[in-house]
Order: sequence, then C-alpha cells, then structure tokens
Amino acid sequence: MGRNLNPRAIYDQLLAHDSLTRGQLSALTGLTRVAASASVEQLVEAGLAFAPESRRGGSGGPAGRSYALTPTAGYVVGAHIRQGGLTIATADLTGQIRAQLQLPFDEPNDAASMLHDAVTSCLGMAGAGLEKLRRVVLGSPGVIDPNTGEFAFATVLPTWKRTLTAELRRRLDRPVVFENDVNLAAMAEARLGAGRGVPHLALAWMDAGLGLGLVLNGRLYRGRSGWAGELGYMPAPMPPSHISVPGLPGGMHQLASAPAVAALAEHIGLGADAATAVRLAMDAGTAGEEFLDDVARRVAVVVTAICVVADPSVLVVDGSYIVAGGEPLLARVQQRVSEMSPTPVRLALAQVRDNAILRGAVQTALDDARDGLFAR
Amino acid sequence: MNSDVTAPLNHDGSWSALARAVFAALLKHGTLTRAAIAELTGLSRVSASGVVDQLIHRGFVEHVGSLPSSGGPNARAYSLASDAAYAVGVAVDLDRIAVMTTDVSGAVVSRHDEPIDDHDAVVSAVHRAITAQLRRLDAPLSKLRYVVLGAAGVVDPLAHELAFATNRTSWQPSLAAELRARLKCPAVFENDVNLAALAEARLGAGKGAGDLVLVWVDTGIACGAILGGRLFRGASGWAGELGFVPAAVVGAADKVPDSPVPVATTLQQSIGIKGVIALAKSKGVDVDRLLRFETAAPDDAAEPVLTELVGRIAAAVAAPVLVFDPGLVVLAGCIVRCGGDALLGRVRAQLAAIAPIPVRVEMSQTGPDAILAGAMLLALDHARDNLFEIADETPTVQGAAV
Repeated sequence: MGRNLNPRAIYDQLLAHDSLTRGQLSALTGLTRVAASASVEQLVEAGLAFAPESRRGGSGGPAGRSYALTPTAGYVVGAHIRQGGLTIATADLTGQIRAQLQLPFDEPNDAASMLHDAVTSCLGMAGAGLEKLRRVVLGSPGVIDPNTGEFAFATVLPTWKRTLTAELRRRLDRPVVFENDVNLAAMAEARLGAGRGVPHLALAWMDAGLGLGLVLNGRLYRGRSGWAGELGYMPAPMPPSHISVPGLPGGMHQLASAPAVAALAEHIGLGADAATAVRLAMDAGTAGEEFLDDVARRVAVVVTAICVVADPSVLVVDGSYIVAGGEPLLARVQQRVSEMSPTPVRLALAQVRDNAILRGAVQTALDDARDGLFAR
Repeated sequence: MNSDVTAPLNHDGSWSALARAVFAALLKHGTLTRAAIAELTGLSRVSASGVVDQLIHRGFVEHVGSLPSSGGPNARAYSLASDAAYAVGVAVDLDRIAVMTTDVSGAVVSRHDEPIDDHDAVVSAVHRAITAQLRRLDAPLSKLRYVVLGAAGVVDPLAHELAFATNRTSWQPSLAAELRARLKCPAVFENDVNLAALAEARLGAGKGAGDLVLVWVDTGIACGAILGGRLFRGASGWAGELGFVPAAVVGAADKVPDSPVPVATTLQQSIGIKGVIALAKSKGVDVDRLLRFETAAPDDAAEPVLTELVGRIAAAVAAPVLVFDPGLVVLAGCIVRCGGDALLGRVRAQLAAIAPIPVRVEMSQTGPDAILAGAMLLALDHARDNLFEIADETPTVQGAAV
C-alpha cells in the first residue's frame, strides 16, 4: 500500500479506538476531511477496514459512517521456544489472540518441520489460512542477526543450524524471524506491562546469563548485529565477596548472573541456587541481611550502568532470583542505586507474568506485519 | 491497493506541506524550472506554479535565469534564496563561546569567537555575537530561525535547558529561555558530545555508515549515540553520561573501605584527565609521555600504566557498545587525540578481548570544531522544518535525523 503515510495514520487511529467516523478520523489525525476520507476508503478497498452497519440504520450519510479494522484481514504467529517446550499463539491484526497451544520440543533433528507443523496447527486452530499469515516471530535465547533473522550464536539450542530461519521461510513461504527472548520480554513489558505510556523501556534479565532488552521510542531496538544488550560482558567492579564462576565470561556475568549469586550463597552456606538463597535469606530476618545487601549492590551496579548509558523511562528488572526477592529486594536495589546513580531511576518488577516472551513475540510480529502493510 | 509512486510527497494539501516539498526539491537539485519542480514533487503544473509564486512572494525562492526546455523556448529557472533564513550554532565552553551562522542552503556565512566570564555574560555575549553577525549579513532578526547551544552537561530533553552544567554550576537552567526572549527566535541547549556525534555522523567517520556511538575521552568522559538515524537522548537527557558507569579500577587506593562494591569508583574518576594524571603519578611515569602513548619496551615502567589506561578506555567503550550494538564507535577528545593510532590499535584489541562483538572502532575525523558544527547542523535542520510554520508558534524539538 504505497508509502503514503496518511493511510497508516488512519490505520493507527482505528487500532487505538475500535471504531471512528470520518469526522473523528480527521480530527484525530489532523488530516483534512477530504484526505482522511480518501485514506480510509483506501483501507476499505485494501480489505483492511470496513464500515459496520450503523445501528441507526445508515442514517447520517457517509460523513456519519463509522469505520473499524477488519480483524480477519491478516494473522500473525508468535512463539516462545525453550529447552523442552514450545508455546505458540495466533493473533489477528487487531491484536486479539485467536489460538494458543503448548507442545513438547526436545531439540528435534528436524526443527524446521516441527516448527512448520506447530505454526500451521496453531493457524488452523484460529481458523486462519496460511495465505493470511503475515509474520512469524519465534523467541529463543541467543544472538540473532537482525539482517537475516538467523542465529549468530544460540545459547540454549546450540545445535541449531544457521539456516533454520531460511528453511522455515521456504516451507511456509511467509516472513519468519527469530528474536532474542529478552528483547521479546521487553516488548511485552513495553506494550502490556510496566512500560505502557512511556517512550523508552529497558528490561534487565538477570538469570543464567545477563541480558538487556530495549524498546526505544516505542519500537524494539535490535542494534546493528543483534548484540545490543549483551550486558554480561560489560566490565564491572567486583566486590570483595566475589567468587569466580568458571565457564562464564568476565564482567557483569561474574557480578550479577544467577550462577554468580549462587556461588556467593553457597560460600556462606545459603543453599544451591540463587532464587532459593534469596528466599531463604528473606525468611532469615537479620541473619539474611548481609547477603541480600550484597545481592542488591551487585544488581545496583548493573542498573546504574544501564541508566547512565541508555537512560530509559522505566527499567524493569527480571529473572529468577529477582522475582524471588520481589518488592523487598527491589527496594534494597533502589536504595543502592540512589547512592551510585546521578539520575533518578524508575525501577519496576515485570508485570506480565503469564507467557511474557510469547506475548512479546506476538506484539513484535504485529508491529512488523502492520509495517509490512504500508511498506512499498 | 495501488501504490501512488508518482507522489513522493506525503502531505495533507496544506500550504506548509506543499511549500516544504518544493523547497526540498530546490535544495536537492539547485536550479529547476517550474515543469521540473512539478515533476519532482508530484504536484500538478498548476499547483506547483502556484506554490513557486507564493515562495517568490515570501522571499524563499528567486528567479535565476533560464534553462533549456524540451520542445520549446528556454524556461525560466528558479533556485532557493539562500539569504531567506539563517540558523546559528553556538559552542559554549567554560571561558569562551564560538558562534557559527549558516544560511538556509547550508553554507556557513560567518563565525565568531569570544571570551566570556559568567552567567550573565553567556546570554549577552551570545546575543551580541548573533546580532552582530546578522547585521554584517544585512539580515533582519526575523530571518534568524533557530539557535542551538552546545554545552557540557545534562540537557533536559523537554525544557531544552541545562539541567546540570558540568563547567559552571552557576549557570541557571534558564539561559535558553532568556536568549529566546531576547532574540524572539527558538533557542535550545543540546549536550556537547551529542552534537559531536551528530557532526561525526554527517561529516566525519560516520558519513554513510548509519548509526554510531561517539565516545569522548577528555576532562570528562561521555558518549553520544545516533540510533536508527536519530540522536538518542534518553528519557531525561542522561543517556551517554559514561562518567557515572561503575568501574573496576586496579589499585587499592581507589576502593572504598568496608564496601562490597567500590561505589565511589566510576569511569570519570578512572579515565578523566585527573584520573590519568593520578595514575601516571602513582607509578612515577611522566604524564606527557604517557599521553603520547609512546611505544615502550616491555620492561619500561610506562608499559603497565599504558596497559591500564587502555583497559580503562576500552571498558568505557564497551559499555555503550554492549548496550546499543551500534556497529561503529568513534573515539574523540584530547586523550585519544594525544594517543593517536597507537592508542586506537590497543583499544581495538582490548575491546575484542572484552566481548566478541562485531564493531568498527575509528578515530574522529571532524576536528576541533565538531561541537560547533553539530550545533549549526541541528539548528539548520530545525530552521528548515519550521520555515513555513506560523512564525510565533513554539516549535517542538525532535531528534535530529542524520
């Protein structure tokens, strides 16, 4: 549909408001009545919008007619692939989830045909044909080249071929990309969680690895080669309590990843994994203070570095031991950050608790699909 | 739906949209006939001619002769009246200001430097310098369309004032407003390193490369980021203030006793000029020699100090690279200028050791006037955007496109 931005402006208003008259469209977009009417008619011709029958029986003529987006104009599929399992969902172009299913996924040799079947089943459940599939976004850990949508570096599924995306595209004959899971979690928070209504959201994921997802000016930020937000490598000051964790690259991995926190916990006899140790320390009252404070300072170093580099409107901190610590741990982190960071930092815990990466995959697929409608 | 490929212009039919399209065509192509203007803008001959007439009437376009026309007599040709509007960039330093004026075609028409001493002097010195330059150009104040002031510090991205001035805490966050009132023209502050990054992207090492991060290593350390083709300032203007990144520093003196994390240790302290001098002194190495990065024999006392300094600079570069993955990093500022290619090579190697991230590291190619040039370029962008708006409307400032 042309590069003309006017139909896009009309489309975005219909997306935000469900149903609007020509007069309302003109007022909301700042386009003249004539330009707004012409653009909405272009959308109708393209099958993207329609004029639902007026409840008053068509009175009022064309000026009073309301328009809405056609939900069945197109579909997207989002998925979250983990070790052992796959969650996949189909949404229509208005963003409504039409079908969702969970499948086992044990790194099959033929990942491409397995993923192909998952996509077609989920589309079928939504009653949608392959020809109306606009975009597939598959979320998984790793570095994904934004230019090819292929893995440059897969952490959880290392045997994946660098041609998986290409194979899947060929079989489905539709646009398919992989996206980094942390980026998708950030998208979910930006659209559905702590980042609603702000321009720049960052999500720091502190778990087996350290990652940062950025949604800048409302859009997913991927960087030049998919390496944006690989925080684990960032040089960091190590506290005296630091115990080197073998197998992890240096820098912030060694400071605040779950294995680094677990090593600290083990050293002081607090248990096996980071989340459990944080929970035990919180239950231990004053006896757990020192450990929690050490953890909070480590997280605060990561948070401060992110804030003075990227200055997000909201920084969501997430990951197993962060979730275990909840608001009390967040308050400690905030306290430590205020000692280090010159700028006031708005910290938040993740709010999208249910299938965040899947939701982020759907949101990203919707963005890309809608852009595709208006690209030349 | 058919794409309307003959209309490169996206407009709502308003006068300002049509005028902007004709202006853009003349800016790009120089001298054009009315027929060529119609063809390039996708307007009908009649509409294009009408807009040209109005632009002539308002002084933005002038008749400059004639061009051969297919199948007929020579047609009258038009180009921009470059003196129709002016934009000004100002670099505000601790003790001096530099002012550069461009006409609407983008040609630099004057430049002026002068010393200043305090807060009042900044506004009046800038005001005096701008009005003097315009007088020399025989241009009324109404032709001044935009002023951008570059200074060290944090600029509030909504108020466009210095929220935190690095050089002079006495500077109030009202300097731009005072200047706006005196000049009756939009005037905004922009962070100096952001402006250097913009200049680098347009005129320097980033020309044609797309995104970049410029890391400035000088009395302080900061970076400016051009992301997705636009200047990225962050939510509150603090983006790129690398001096506050918590840093690992070798040497017990830098650590805070009884603190699990050396909270008082930041990159500012470790690689700002004071940090470098302290580092050199602590190891008994001559600072001048250290800053020249003279290659030393492995047993030279300066060698471990150089290694340490390179490590600190690489750590500072790694922070924005790992956050933004810009593909290109440009090094600028007095410390890296002193170090030259010897420093560049070592920083590249050290960065590769920190993370296996694909990134090109280059030296700045913009020279000492980068901040001033960046301020002028940004002012020119805004001046052109606002050229056909109603004169007294307060324009909003968006990111600068590269």
